[in-house]
Amino acid sequence: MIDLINLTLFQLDALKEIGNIGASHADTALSELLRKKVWISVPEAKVVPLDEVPQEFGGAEKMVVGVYLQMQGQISGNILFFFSQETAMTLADILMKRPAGTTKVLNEMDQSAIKETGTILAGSCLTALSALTNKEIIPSIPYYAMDMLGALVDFIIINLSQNAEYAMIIQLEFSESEYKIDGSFLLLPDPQSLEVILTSLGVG
Amino acid sequence: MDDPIKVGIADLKVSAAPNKIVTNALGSCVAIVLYDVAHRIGGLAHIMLPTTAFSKIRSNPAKFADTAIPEMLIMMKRLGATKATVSAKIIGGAQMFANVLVEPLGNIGLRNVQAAKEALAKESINIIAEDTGGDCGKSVEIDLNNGGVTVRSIKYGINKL
Repeated sequence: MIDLINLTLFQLDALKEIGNIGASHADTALSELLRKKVWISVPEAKVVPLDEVPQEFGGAEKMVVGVYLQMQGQISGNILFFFSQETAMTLADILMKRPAGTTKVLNEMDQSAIKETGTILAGSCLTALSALTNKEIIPSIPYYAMDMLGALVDFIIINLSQNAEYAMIIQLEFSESEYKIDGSFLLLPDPQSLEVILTSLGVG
Repeated sequence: MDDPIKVGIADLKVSAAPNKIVTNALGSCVAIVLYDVAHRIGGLAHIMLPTTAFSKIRSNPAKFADTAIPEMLIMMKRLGATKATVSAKIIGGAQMFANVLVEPLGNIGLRNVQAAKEALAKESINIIAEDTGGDCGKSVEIDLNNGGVTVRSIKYGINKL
């Protein structure tokens, strides 16, 4: 099993490159979906101790809306897309074609639209990962929740803690200036899949 | 009044009155709160997994229900607690995303709650209150002056145990 704490900068760069290509796909997909120019940050690839994952993304008690998907197939792991409640309301306004500021409560239709956005983002990133590694990856259906960030991520941490003390996280931050949308997209491969990814990128 | 003592993920702390111990944002994790009413000594563990059988990395007793409870009892005894007057409250073990299963654990929140109950039964400690399961995140505070536990959640506000 690969030791996450000993990943080289070279390996982290290779993982960041997955983020880069994923980001350019996601950028296009999200901009088309929202009909707005969405800006995606330079991706980060980082290794974080499991118990520090919530702090890394703004604190355990931060209220967020999250869409979760599992990666299955030859590469497995977790995908979490999360943002503030305000961004969720704005996303719902845009996706449901309502005037800005209309959405006050996220109903089931809004939740479905937000889940769909998560699916599209995850799909574009996984397409990139799949093409780079030549491995088959299947995203699960999307799951939706609104709660404290720490509570939303703890089962991902639990899942990883069976085999590791650290999480390798590829992170994309996206934002749109007109509507002040921003959010985070995290890809957390399982430790055994990380080895598969690095080997197929030629940096194993 | 000093700030409450913070317990992280896979972490545990013990202390005595007049202190408070808190842990934040439990999802599928479980908080096990022990309190010795006679000596006003208590502890809080924020466990991730049911037993050591579920992880290859077993060095941290606070990570598992089956090792966190004996560890907390030892630490509480050092402060002067006696097991006969210790009781327990358990909080958490939710399923945040409906129907998501974590293989091979399945519904991990439920498994953690069951494991906490089994580990407490093994030590013959009574569970006098619980706020477990459901689908919402919870933050927990125990007041070691009286053993009162406050559970905060987005959905239900404040629940006193």
